[in-house]
Amino acid sequence: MDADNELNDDFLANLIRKVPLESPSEEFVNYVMTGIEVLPGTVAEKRPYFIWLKSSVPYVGLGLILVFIIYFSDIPYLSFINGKEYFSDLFLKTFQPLWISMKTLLSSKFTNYLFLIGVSAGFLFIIDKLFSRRFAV
Amino acid sequence: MKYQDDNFYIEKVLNGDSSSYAALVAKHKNLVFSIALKILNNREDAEEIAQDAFVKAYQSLRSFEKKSKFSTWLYRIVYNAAVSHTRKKILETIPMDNYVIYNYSEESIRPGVDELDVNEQQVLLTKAMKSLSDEDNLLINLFYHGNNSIEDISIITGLSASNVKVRLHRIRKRLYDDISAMIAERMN
Repeated sequence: MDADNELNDDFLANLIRKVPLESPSEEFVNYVMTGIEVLPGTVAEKRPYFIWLKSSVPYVGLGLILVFIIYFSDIPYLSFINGKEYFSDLFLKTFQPLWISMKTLLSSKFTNYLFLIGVSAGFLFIIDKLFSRRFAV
Repeated sequence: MKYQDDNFYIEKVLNGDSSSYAALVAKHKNLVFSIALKILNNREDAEEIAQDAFVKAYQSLRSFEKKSKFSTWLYRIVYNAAVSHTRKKILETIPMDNYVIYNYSEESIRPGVDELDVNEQQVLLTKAMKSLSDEDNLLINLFYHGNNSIEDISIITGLSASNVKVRLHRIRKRLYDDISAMIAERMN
């Protein structure tokens, strides 16, 4: 009998199982169930659909930003995407007034500071949301 | 009472049938209570901690990812709660007691044990188990009563698997030693 198999000792296991475990009071199950019933918002309630939708927003947002960057970037090896140039031209031309107004806006030091603070706060908020989730076993 | 697999009740609870949780509580209450009792040494405290552990497990049931068995997860919750309650770190090291362990085996004690009736065997074992420390009793309850593997016990207690194995070997040999001595005493 090797060392590992020694522990799977049926003789001793059967002998030990003849000694019953200590049991709690007879009302134990009822106490637990009463404790569960008085809890607000317990597990039995399914998470509403909008909460699932809400929790996916940061991921969808990040995905869209990534797609936007890749699609409109000048990275040469992405030029294989069909119609990329047509769409970027169309996109840039359509939103030209917006780009011009944004350029004007961002050329102000005051708005730049606000913009940087906003971006940093948004970034920290997303990081906090992503990492503050409870880890499960 | 014959119980279904834990996952059967878990699915029902997650689908909104919270009363199914009562079956899970009834199925695991004794071992959960025993774990708390071995650590706390006080029935009232153990019962309170065991109840809290079940409520906590219920609240976190949706985040239980089934990477381990439900029982392992539950026992870990009660173990942590009880240890936090006592604020003492147990089971950290292998105690280097001076107890001499002889190599008694099943063959050497079986005839003596077989001569006893069930009640006498129960008394014998209860006596032998009382000579063990609470921590050792906790380990044998998890291993023999709870049918937990060494890896499961390692997850529950936070001990390394090799440490659990070494301790279980020592406990097993010590039990054989004690039972053998008690049988010899009865014969004389």
